Amino acid sequence: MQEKTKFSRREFLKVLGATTSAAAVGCSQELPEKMAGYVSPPNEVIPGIAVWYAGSCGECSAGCGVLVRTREGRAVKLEGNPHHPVNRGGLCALGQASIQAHYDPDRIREPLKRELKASFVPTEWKSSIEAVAAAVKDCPPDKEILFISEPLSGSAVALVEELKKAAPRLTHVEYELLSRDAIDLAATAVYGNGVTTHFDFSKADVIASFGADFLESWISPVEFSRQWAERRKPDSAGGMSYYVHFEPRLSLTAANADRFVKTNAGSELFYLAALLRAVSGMRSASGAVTSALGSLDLSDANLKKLGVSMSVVNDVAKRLVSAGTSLVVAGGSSLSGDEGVTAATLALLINETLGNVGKSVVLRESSKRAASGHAALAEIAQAVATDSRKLAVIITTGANPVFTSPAGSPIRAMYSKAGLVVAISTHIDETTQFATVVLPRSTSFESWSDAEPAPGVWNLNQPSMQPIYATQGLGDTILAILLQMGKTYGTQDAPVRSFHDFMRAQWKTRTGANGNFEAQWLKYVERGGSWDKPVTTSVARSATGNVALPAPKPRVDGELKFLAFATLVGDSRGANRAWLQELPDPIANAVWGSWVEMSPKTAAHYNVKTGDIVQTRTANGAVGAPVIVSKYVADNVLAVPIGQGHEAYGRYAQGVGANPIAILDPTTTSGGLSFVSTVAADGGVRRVSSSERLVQTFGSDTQEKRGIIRTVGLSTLAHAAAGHHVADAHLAESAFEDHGKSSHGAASSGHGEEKHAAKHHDPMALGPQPEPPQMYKQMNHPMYRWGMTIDLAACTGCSACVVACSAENNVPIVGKDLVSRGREMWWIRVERYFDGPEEAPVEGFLPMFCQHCANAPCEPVCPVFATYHNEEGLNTMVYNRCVGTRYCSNNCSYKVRRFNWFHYKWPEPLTWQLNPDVTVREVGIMEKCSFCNHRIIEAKNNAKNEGREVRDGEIATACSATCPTKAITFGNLLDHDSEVYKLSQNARAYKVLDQYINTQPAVSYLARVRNDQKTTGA
Amino acid sequence: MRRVVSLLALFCGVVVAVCAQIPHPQNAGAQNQAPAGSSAGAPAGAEAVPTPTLPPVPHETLISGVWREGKAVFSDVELLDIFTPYARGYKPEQPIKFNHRIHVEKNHMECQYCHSSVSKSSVASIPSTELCMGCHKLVRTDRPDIKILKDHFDKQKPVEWEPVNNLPEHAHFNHERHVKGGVGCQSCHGLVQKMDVVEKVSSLKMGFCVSCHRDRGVTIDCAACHY
Repeated sequence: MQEKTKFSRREFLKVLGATTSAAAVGCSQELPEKMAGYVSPPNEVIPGIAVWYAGSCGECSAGCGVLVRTREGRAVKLEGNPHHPVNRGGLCALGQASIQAHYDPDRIREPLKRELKASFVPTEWKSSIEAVAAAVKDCPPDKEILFISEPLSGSAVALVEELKKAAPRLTHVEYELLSRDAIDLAATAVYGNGVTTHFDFSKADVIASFGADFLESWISPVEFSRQWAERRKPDSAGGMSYYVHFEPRLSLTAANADRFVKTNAGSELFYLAALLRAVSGMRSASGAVTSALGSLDLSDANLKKLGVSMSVVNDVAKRLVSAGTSLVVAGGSSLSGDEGVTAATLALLINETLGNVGKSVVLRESSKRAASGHAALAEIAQAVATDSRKLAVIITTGANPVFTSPAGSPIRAMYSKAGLVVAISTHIDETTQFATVVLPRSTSFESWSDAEPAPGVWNLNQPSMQPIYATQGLGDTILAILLQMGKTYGTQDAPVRSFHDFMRAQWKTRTGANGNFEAQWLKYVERGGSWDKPVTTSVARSATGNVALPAPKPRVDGELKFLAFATLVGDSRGANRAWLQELPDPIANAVWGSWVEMSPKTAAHYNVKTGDIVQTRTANGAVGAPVIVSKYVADNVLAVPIGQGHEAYGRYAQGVGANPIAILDPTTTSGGLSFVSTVAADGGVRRVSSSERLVQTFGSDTQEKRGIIRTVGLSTLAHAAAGHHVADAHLAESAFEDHGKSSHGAASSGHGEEKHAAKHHDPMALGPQPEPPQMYKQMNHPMYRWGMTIDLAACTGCSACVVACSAENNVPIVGKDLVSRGREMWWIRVERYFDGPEEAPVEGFLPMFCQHCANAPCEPVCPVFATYHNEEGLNTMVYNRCVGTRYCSNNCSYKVRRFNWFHYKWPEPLTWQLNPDVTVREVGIMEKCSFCNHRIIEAKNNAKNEGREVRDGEIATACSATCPTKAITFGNLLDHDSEVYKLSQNARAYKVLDQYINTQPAVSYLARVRNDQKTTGA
Repeated sequence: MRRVVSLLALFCGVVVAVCAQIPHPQNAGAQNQAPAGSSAGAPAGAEAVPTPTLPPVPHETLISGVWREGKAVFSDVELLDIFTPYARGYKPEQPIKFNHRIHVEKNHMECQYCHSSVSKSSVASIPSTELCMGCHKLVRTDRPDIKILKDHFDKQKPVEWEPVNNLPEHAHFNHERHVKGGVGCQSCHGLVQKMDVVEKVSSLKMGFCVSCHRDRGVTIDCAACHY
């Protein structure tokens, strides 16, 4: 033993000394950076104070208004514009994450060019524009120019019209994966040209959705979520709505339904037709209905074969007919491909028969300016492939058709056959890779643009910061090409030199403002646009008498269908944002990748289980992804989410997951791409070995009757309102049972006195509870006690709060590997449990974050007082005290504390997005929700300056501000007039786990309400 | 074995280093009690400038514990700060030898003429080069430092100043709140009007802040500054 110890005292001291100094140096502070003042100060900027710019979100065609918060010239956060008629202050996860695309380190930094197959080399703007303008101008008469863009709106449309005038051989195609072409075509079929439909979910007493994921990605999710939630509370004006959802798999939207009907893929069309027949039998049907139903085989035998349940159809029909106003929408897979227009037409005819048009279905005038959709582009590509059309130039912007079209589609080949391929793009994506000239496009944070999301609603987007790189907005680039071609716009005195000038001229003409336009314009810029009438204004049109629908493709028995579905992330464009990659899918809870959902029966047939990697093959190819076995997927379906599987598009997108679009059926004759294909009968699903794996963030599908998420039936609440004390919340089972039957706990048994006696012991009781005797000394709150309420009736699980919180609080991203070890850093997680009844399997969604308990279990175990309770009721974290014992996290009953296992660093320029008001935490530090303490401090500072207390509603946390449905309310619980106090005293209010462990959280949840009212005889 | 012993040494070293950074509550209190200017860590240069004397902390506050009991003891020790720009007496050389004494004492300029956002924002702000040039287009244009200034302005290049009054990390400080609360600039920054070269006269450590906060009866909640 002694021999082995060759470590002398001297050596020991040397190591000791070295490590002491190393640790001392390591622990000491970093050197401060140099300070630089402005050379010439900009007018608006006071250092340390945020400047806000109104703008417009360009992530989808919904056209939400946003406010961009900038600090010292850098955009740091987005909020919804509370005055905007579309979103009214809400903003979705995709919109919140758009700032990460803006700061993405893999953006194109300067114009690029390349010759033949060589790699891209940087070039100049001037020469690039000259090259493009020359090619457009000198297009030979036997060739064409193709301009592919995202759906354009506002002045950009007028500019493209100018481009068409300057280049008569130019064809414009608007291309979007999740397109609304089928809805437009259906409106044309029923009401004639020049009209399209929009929807108002707040008007509907009964909603039936056929695969339309209107709470996630369908048309205008923020607007629809808000409208839907307006009618989902028991005390909603007009009463609570009833919502039934038909889909082959449980989507987030389906999970929010009162009844989820799992349909076989391919049967939705027949469900719609059967519903139309049933509804028109109960109401006087028009001739259009008879002609529309003519081509469909609705015999009992056929319906039975397809799995259409007539009892469901009749129940829904009865509800629809007896409702004042209802709404039937179709979307997602049922609205894709050749039969999409048929499905949309049937849905519209049901609405027409029920008299919903003009109420919940809004007719809007629309003028289709360009060909759109996958079919239109594929047709051109086919013609190019057969050399019947020749392309001199392809200009692509805002769309990624190579990625979002099947591998068998001629679109990819078309790009290799054009003379000059121009991409006006922010990123090198799959389509831009084919380009020979790349013109870097500015984001909406850097450029002027406008949009018209609804007739009479004009968004105006101003740049909120200088371009990061040598980029230009789309409008400026097109204008530069036009000017280079020798065109001139504007007058001699006021020539149009930039897109800003062009847009101003457009606005001036449109608003008809005379001399005072300058003042008016500034007002528009300040407000973010102009809107005078509600977005739901409908025009009057009558339906045509005869609607002929094509016969659907024959259904083949026993076929396994391959289904590509959209998630929160939208189409492919969200994939390059680390926030969205790490955001757990609300249903599958999977991160950083794709997965294949299949039913237990299918899984048993192929002998696979959750987590196995399988290769799924269709006639067009194969994709590999891990399996998730789910009871809530139809037996004839394999479902894979859209958006992953990029080969290019930046470091966060590349090599993650698989692209299901690649193996879809490329032949589509109308509208958008079909999201349903057929799995090969032979070797369709094969287990493969792969390094990829499934990472899910959530451990349990059941809450073990702990009442974390509580749901009450509407009928139970009505019972309570009638004077009975019906306290129990755990009505997942009982809500759908008859009242006579005894169910769990005190839910539906017994009467008044028994109930009151049980009240103190019932951990499932709802509403304000008497304070139990306290063992601990209670905190004194002299002025404020901050608290929050979350109305689960309005919470859709959309996860916008999660992304908004991360953007506001500098929450890092850890990557797939660390998430698999449970080291994700989100301050909010959206919990979901499959504890509901068969008809509505998801109990609800619950955003879980620090509950700021008055008796916080984390506080007494901290050895260094890094976490403590303050006089305003906040459970705070003092980061520089924390030594990282993690005792607090072990003792937290809600598991909301997050530990920095490493020093997570963002690459430049993503660091520019960091909020300067919030500390960036380092390795070894515990962190958690702070109730946006910096915003509280800011509000208190403002209040102090004005010599008053903080007003109710003055503070919005990042999560409550962005919530599309305004489910989250924050405020002072001591102020009994405050909104948050009133809500916390609501009869539905409860605190998670409080009645078991007396933690006294500052967060109250309002139990979710399920409309369980039965149909009355129609 | 050798590995075990070296690990042990490593561990001891880290413990020693960490302990050295965490002051003993009693010691910290003793530091707190002493006038800020005569702290052990402050180099001799600091004595040249008179610093505002902080009121002694009453003895009964020197009990370690959570602030929930109403009192707490915080560190004002600068054991390691003598090596860093966080120490009292830190007096770096600036790219331009700006002289506060000439501007303030001699020419009677207000602090807020240059540090204009001090009563509006959390940061006092550094004057823009344009503001300097407002006078120095005409005034003292022959001086070498003004030539440097003009050179920066002509090249539209900001002057990169060395920060002096460095706040320790993980703490937020709001100038607006303090100025509006009647705390003069000199309370923390010392008599800048007497300084030819600006130097740090207060530790700006937590003990310094908290003793004043306690004395004035304003918040000593951790979350007021640490968030």
